[in-house]
Amino acid sequence: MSAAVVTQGLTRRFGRHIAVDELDLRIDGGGVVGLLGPNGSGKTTLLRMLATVLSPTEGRIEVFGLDPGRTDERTAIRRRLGYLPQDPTLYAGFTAFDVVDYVAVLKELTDRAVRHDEVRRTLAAVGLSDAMHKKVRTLSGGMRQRAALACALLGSPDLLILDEPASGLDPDQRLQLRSVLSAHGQTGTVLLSTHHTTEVAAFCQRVLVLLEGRIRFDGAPADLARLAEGHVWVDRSGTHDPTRSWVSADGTVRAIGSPPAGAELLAPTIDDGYLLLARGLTVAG
Amino acid sequence: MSVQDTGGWHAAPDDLTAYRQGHLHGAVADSVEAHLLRCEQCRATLADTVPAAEQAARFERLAVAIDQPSRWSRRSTWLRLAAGTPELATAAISLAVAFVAAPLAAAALDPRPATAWFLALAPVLPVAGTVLAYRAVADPVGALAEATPLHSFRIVLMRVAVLLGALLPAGVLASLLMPGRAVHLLGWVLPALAGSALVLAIGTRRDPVWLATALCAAWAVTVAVGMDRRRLEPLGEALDGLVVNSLTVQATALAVALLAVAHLSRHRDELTYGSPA
Repeated sequence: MSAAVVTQGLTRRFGRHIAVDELDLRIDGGGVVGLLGPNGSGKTTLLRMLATVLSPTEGRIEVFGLDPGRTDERTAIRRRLGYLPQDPTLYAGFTAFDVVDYVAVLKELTDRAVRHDEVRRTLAAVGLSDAMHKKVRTLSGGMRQRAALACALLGSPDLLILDEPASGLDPDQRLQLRSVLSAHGQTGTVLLSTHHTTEVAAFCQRVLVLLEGRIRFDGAPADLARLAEGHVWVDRSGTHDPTRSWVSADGTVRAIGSPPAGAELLAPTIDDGYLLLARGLTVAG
Repeated sequence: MSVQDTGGWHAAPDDLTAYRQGHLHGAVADSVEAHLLRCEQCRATLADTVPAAEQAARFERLAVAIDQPSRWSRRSTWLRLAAGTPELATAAISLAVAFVAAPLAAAALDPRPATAWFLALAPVLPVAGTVLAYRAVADPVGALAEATPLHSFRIVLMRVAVLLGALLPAGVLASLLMPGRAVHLLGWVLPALAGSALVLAIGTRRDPVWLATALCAAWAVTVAVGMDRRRLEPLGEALDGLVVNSLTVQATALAVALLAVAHLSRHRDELTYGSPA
């Protein structure tokens, strides 16, 4: 069975700017993969290329063993793909049902009864059953995001690519999102980008950290936390460097990097591991 | 109303059956209905009197009624995609009406400048309509559509066909009704088609707004300058002598239109839109 996604030397330039830089990646089928990275790190560009929306400047992509550069194979990939773009726009005059139904038409669900059942199923999955006949203009930001997510879930795609799906969701809705995506990850593959390390720690089996267009970490969330083992301590120096230390909820100053001798070490979190990488702080050992 | 007391008031099974069949009328029907709204037991009894097949059929009819909140759901797949947003249809109708009404109204006041303005601006509407088919206003779901199997250039082509189908006949009608010989006033048609086809072809690679603006501006300036130079000639002769009505310009427009259409036709399956290639 072919992998869900394989890239080799994948590169995308916008003028002189290199958004994704010679990226090699393999994602086998099944599970939830989280993509972490700061703004401008290339997450959206990478996801758009994997979603067959944007063509690479150089390198190779295979999705389910198919080449998205070929028209027939791109269509075949899209039949097995669900994609939630960053900041999706929905026509304000349609109802949530109309919007999802319109995308269902684009996804070749031509039998009306089957399509409507599927639209109702996905709207129920994201908790919008009660609001399905409300116009988009009357929906909150979180509800619009969930309607867009329902579009991506149509047809239970084998590969779900989600660009910041938790954006605009409140804590309850985030829990529901985790539940939906975890369930989807049992049968298909979910690749999502996020700024929230807690999301990744909560339900991703694998995490990728993308910095300046390159993957700087690829492993389990626990391994990302372990990366910072021995490099998180209580800073009692009184000099607060915002690039490497911050005041935690209990009032202590938590610092990352190379600890001074005799420092009180703390158990690392996935946040620490990510920040250590993102801020380019050298890790000894 | 026939009711029996079973520890509380409940509707008689015969009344429920008659209610289901639509045989109860007037106050009795109202009374049974009011009772059903507050009595779960009678609702269950009523449900038991409905054969399973009839229940399924009723739910299906209900689902159809609920699931068709707008007229868009009733269209066939491609027609629905071509229709895009209601704004697109509104724009097509509004522009078509303006295409006929505005020049005729102006011509009633002063024929010569109205005719010059008409010829200068006539290609703008079809070309602008073509650009409109690419814009977000034409698509109900924007980027959400981009990774779907049916997302293709064909949708843009169909939306352009809808717009041009409304605008070109309106423009031709206006040309026939304006002062001056129709053959001179129809000089905008081929350039408009060429401009639309070029905009379609370029729009798969770049934002077509700039190309459309440049083409329309070049045309309008050429017509305006030509008409100004011939302001002393009678209207018919002035129109006849315009560069834009020359055989060279018309033949070039036809060639450009055919080439662009041939390119689009040959590459229609490879073309996409909405994202830089």
